[in-house]
Amino acid sequence: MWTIVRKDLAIELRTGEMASSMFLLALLMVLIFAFTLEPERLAGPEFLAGLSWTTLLVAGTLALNRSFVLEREAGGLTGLALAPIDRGSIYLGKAIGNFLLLLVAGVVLLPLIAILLGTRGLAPTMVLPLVLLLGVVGIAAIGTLCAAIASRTRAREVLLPILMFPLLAPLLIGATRATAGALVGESAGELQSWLLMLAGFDIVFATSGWLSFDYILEE
Amino acid sequence: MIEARALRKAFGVSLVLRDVDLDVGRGEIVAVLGPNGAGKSTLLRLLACISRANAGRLSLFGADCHPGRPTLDVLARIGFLGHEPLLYEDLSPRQNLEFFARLYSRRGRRDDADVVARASLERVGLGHAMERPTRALSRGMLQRLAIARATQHQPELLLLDEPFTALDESGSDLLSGEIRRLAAIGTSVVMVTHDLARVSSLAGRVVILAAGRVVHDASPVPAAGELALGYRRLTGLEV
Repeated sequence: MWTIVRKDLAIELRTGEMASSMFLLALLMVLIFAFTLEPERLAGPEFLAGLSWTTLLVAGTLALNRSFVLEREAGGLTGLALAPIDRGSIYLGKAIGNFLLLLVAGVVLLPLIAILLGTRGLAPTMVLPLVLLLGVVGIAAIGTLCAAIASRTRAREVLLPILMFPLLAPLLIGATRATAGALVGESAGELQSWLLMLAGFDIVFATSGWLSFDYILEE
Repeated sequence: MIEARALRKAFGVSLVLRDVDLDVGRGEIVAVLGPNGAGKSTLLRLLACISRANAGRLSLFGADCHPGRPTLDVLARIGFLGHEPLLYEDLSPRQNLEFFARLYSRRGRRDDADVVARASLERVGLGHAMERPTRALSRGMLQRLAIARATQHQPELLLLDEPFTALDESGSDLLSGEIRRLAAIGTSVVMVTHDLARVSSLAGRVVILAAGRVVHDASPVPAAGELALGYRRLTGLEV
């Protein structure tokens, strides 16, 4: 599993393709919002939270898609399927690689959005990193599974968001609510129900991906 | 090593393999011939456990692989070289082989992956190109790298799909030598190729597939000319 994570990170460090395209798209989206809307009026915690997660999701879709295009290009996924490793480990390896990339994007994106759209009235608590972590785990878990399914089709770029966005809707609602709460100083106790929902969502989808990947790789 | 019985594979309504039987013993080199679309590549993918048959039984190393599933130990003993190199273009040849050496290092062989990768690259004549991006390699060099990937874990069953494609004379000789070396230490080799001269000089047995069926299975392999005549008589086609 860690061998696959290391390989994905080595490719990303060598090419920078996923990170650069993801950051550029995220930056463009945030700038468009900053220029076209009135930040002073709109920059409430709910707006900032919603914008952050939507931007991360859309930009992350590029990275998730790319991570399996890399595998398909020269038959890498077949190479992995041939190897004497549990196919669930292949899923976990790919999901961890995607998680790390999305996490870095989230860590850069949140302050960027706050700076560009204004931080007035915000008092972020230490729950915010936990919300970010849980939300990103969920996107990586579902995104990796959907990207693997989509990569086996010709319309993979179109199919990925169609498969992924509906499945991610509950997670995005939970992550947005929890982020908005954490931005205005709510404690972990006050956000407990959202945090538990996010954690449950992560466990269910990571387990589903791990168990079903054998069938997804099958010809 | 291989015991296949009545293997059948269809893609949609198209039946590609029809009740194929095949037995391959330890150290045997078997050449599979047949016209395009005969099911040769599909058969190799079934034997490599990449693809699953729709019906029939497959046993590798005495372990049930179909209708059951191959164990990790079975997969670790297979080397596969297909039409695609199964390599990452954005990694260097050394990084690629090191990655696969790590994936296959679970069988008690604790050799350092870097040492295995470097030795494999030297063996296939790519020692000078080990740090180049793989996407910058020529087609022939890429095929050499794919050969190194398929053989560096010393497989006990080597499945080769048109392995001489894109190789120059020295590359073809190198691959022939590698096949002989592995067969001498007990590796079974199943090789799909259209190169009858190589078949005559390398293989101990020839299997001809036509329209998804085994129409000929015999050993020893005759000289290339005689083999071409027999092939034409059985399939109605030139090789």
